[in-house]
Amino acid sequence: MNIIDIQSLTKYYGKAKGIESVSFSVKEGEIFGFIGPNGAGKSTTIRTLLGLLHPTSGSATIFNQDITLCGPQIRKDIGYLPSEVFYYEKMKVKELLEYSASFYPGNHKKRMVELATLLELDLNRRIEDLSFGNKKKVGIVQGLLHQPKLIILDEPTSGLDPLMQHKFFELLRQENQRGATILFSSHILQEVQNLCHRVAIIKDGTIVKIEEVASLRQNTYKKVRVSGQISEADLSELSIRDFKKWDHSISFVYQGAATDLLQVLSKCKITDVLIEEPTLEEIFMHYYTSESES
Amino acid sequence: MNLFAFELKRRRIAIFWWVLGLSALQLFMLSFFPLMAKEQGMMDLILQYYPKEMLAAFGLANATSLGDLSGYLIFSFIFAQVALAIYASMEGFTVLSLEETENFADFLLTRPVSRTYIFVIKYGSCLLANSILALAVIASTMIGIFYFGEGATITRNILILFASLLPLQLLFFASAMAITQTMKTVRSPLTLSMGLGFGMYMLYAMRGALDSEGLRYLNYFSYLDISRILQNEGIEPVFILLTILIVFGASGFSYVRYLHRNIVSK
Repeated sequence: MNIIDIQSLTKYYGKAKGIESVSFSVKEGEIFGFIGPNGAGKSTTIRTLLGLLHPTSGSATIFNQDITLCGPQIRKDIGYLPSEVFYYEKMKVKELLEYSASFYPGNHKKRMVELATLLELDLNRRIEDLSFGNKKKVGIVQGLLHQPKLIILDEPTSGLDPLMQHKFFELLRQENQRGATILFSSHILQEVQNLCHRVAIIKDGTIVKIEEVASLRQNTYKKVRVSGQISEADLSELSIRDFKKWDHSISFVYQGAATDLLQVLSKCKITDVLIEEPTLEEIFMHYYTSESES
Repeated sequence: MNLFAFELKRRRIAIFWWVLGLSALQLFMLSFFPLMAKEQGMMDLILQYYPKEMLAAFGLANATSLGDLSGYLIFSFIFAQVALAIYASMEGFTVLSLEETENFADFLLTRPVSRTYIFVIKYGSCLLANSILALAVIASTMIGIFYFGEGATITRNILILFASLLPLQLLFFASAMAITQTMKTVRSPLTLSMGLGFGMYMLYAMRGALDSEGLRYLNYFSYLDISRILQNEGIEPVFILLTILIVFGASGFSYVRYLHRNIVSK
């Protein structure tokens, strides 16, 4: 079952394009990564899903309900953490969280204290006295305290120190194991790589690729570094790119079966071979550059 | 804590100081009335030497006398009206725009509530806040008349004047709210409120001084004209109709714009 289903969603700000024909689905129980650089359209997509922006065309459903018609019902089961957190400065953390909880049915006091303890957040401080990182923690608690079925995170880790990021990711895994679906938007690829099952890459407001994180890394490209007597001409049968040459070694990115590569290499006098999986960053840049070229 | 309670709690300190200030203003102004009544003859003589246009600007052109309670209220009550207009404008300029200006909009609009609900609750809380201020002015004026009125009673005209306060506030509130829905961001609501309140008062004063019929339609103080009400001329039906049209029109416009407003990230 799809928790989020987006069909050709388009948002223009006047004549300026926000997103165009964005389509993807997020399955129940999935942690779905949404990556792209700043300004690519991640926040626009998320804000449209949440009803903060009105789509120019296209449609989207969450929990099989139309986002433009059933916003309040949908948002009962959504926890949202925006990229920039701004709250009522004069309120105490506890007051703000209680106010937030009052919009959802049930008593969430116990969960609020649990999350605040886990994230080392002082509930009695005023919002205006908090650092950006602590405000982010407030955002995390208010987003998770009602145990939502869908958690939408827009650049959630900015401002959190590495230790707190680790705790946060553990918390997200626990929420996911509880059954929550997560849409995780980020431009930090390592985060997505470590946490997500599938990923959508967005560029200039358009989805470039949707793939499982594992297959994205395994089935596509290999980074190869070879030392010995070998030239680019020796590799003419292979599909390679980003060829670089040094005094006694070469490097390139290879796409294809490993046996084909090894056969070609075996014909040359080589002294060392290093075959690595590319990082998600390199894959990401590949999609960016190849799309630009096309 | 629900949204209505939150909205009231947010402005409770402001309401407290406005109530205190307006009540003090009314009592202060009325405390001079015994002196005016005592020196009625001399006051009338002094006013005879004032230019007619200047008296008209303060609504006193046809006033019987400053020594008479109705005449004195024409002169003194307008200050409370201007203050109420500024407060109502402040509410109007901030009620729907505060969250966006201060970047809290993401917090409120991602809760499981509709924009219609938010609009109604916020509108209701502003209505209550304005009513509290109007009641404070009415109560302090009545107390002032009781203590300093030299035996004068609350006449029907004074009751009409009291009843006209909330509609006057709503004119300013609804207009200011509608203006914000045509703006991207509202940077300085206090300046805008003062501008709208004093601007309308200046037009009201000019209308009196110039005796311009056209200017009557351009300022809200003329719609519910204190001078006409207290001189037994009542409120003209055309201005009652205009008041209703503007309040409902501006509120409806604001509602529709708010429903369709895009909340962009900062």
